[in-house]
Amino acid sequence: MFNEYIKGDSIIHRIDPRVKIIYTLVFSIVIALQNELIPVLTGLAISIILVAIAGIEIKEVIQRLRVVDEFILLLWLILPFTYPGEPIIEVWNFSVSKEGIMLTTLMTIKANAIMLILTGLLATSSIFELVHGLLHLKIPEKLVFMFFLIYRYIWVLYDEYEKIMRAVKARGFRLHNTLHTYRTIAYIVGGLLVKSYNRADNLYRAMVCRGFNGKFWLLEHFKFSTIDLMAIIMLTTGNIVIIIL
Amino acid sequence: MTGNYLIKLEEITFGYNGKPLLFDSLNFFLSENARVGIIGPNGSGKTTLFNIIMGFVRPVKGTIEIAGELMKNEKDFQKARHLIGYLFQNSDDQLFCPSVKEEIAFGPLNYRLPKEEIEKRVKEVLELTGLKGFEDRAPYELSEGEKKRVAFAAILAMKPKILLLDEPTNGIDSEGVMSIEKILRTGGYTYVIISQDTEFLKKTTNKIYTIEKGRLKEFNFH
Repeated sequence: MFNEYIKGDSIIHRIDPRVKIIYTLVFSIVIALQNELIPVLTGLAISIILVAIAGIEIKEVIQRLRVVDEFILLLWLILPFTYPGEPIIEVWNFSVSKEGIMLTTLMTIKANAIMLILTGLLATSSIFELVHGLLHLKIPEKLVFMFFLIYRYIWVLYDEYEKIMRAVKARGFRLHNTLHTYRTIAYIVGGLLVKSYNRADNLYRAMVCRGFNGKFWLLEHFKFSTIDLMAIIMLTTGNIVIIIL
Repeated sequence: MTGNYLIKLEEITFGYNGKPLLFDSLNFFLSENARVGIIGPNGSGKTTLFNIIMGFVRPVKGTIEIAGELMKNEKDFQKARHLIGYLFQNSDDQLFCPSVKEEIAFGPLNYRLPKEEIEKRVKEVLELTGLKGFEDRAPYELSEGEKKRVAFAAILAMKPKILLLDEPTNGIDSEGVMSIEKILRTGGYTYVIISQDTEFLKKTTNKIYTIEKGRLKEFNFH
């Protein structure tokens, strides 16, 4: 499990979250729509540079990339063998197509570039800054509030799941293909649902107790600075380069 | 009973769906500067009593008055909650901000206080609760005792008139307990504490109740 917010004091950390949110969205769309290797590699290079400027530790970056690449690995096991095209290698009577390899390579680079931009830009703002940024960008409050709670509590629920799993394992539970296993898993899932409902209920009460009325307020407010202007110019130039290439 | 009470519960009757009544014509009167403790077995309704005061659950029968105002609807409770600081039994349910500073500032920010005032309050309560230096720490990474102190600091920053403390010493070491005792003794608060820690209650309260047969009864240690 990794921490959602990466602390630091780099120029990237100081960019207005609104600029970061918009750029991340535009960059992701631009990269996702590319079908050529050069622009996608350029996008990857831009995202690597941003992560480097943000001064994020390699270990942290690898942990985040692993989440995407574990899924991408599955694509490598399927796509090259199933995508129609000119066969280049044969593995156990299955032919690997050139187009399949090209497509999977593109998808791998795209996914990593987008994950890196998320790490470099969004993970360098705290959740409250992002929430506040989204509200400033006129995203509906209910939607933002839901996003905030999911983001904050998904890890808490994961911890709860791990605790329950440790508790059942301590009492000799092992995963087998038996009715007992399925029943136990159902109990665990049911327990987690009840716990998450109770926790959500209690959290709402706790917020209401402290005067929460659906609006999030920040202690430190955004000020559009020269850094933001420079960031907009450089990031937009980056996007234009990707599109032109 | 007559007099001016900060909290006045009269003839409260309440039971959860399909279960026996928890409260049966329960009365509770809390006057200004009162220091009250509530003890009792699990499931006797101690936390539910706090939830009724806060308006989170509504009684079947009975009236609730807070600071002289009769609570009739959610709007009345919303106003009354400004006067009350409620410390939850489980701090994990109460803390959600990315830093201790933001956690403490959350309540005052919701009340739209000026930034300088919020900064002042944050500084004050951090010192009071012994959390100076914890400003930028993530609340969910702290120990149980530290979390409890952050939750306590967060409600103190709202400068409430009444404190409702549900098991405030749970998970706290003796130093933390002493710090809470000191705040309660010197802060001039009106408060109600739910606790199983009888030593703590003896030191911090002047009246202790227990819930028996759906009603509050004065409890005597001897």
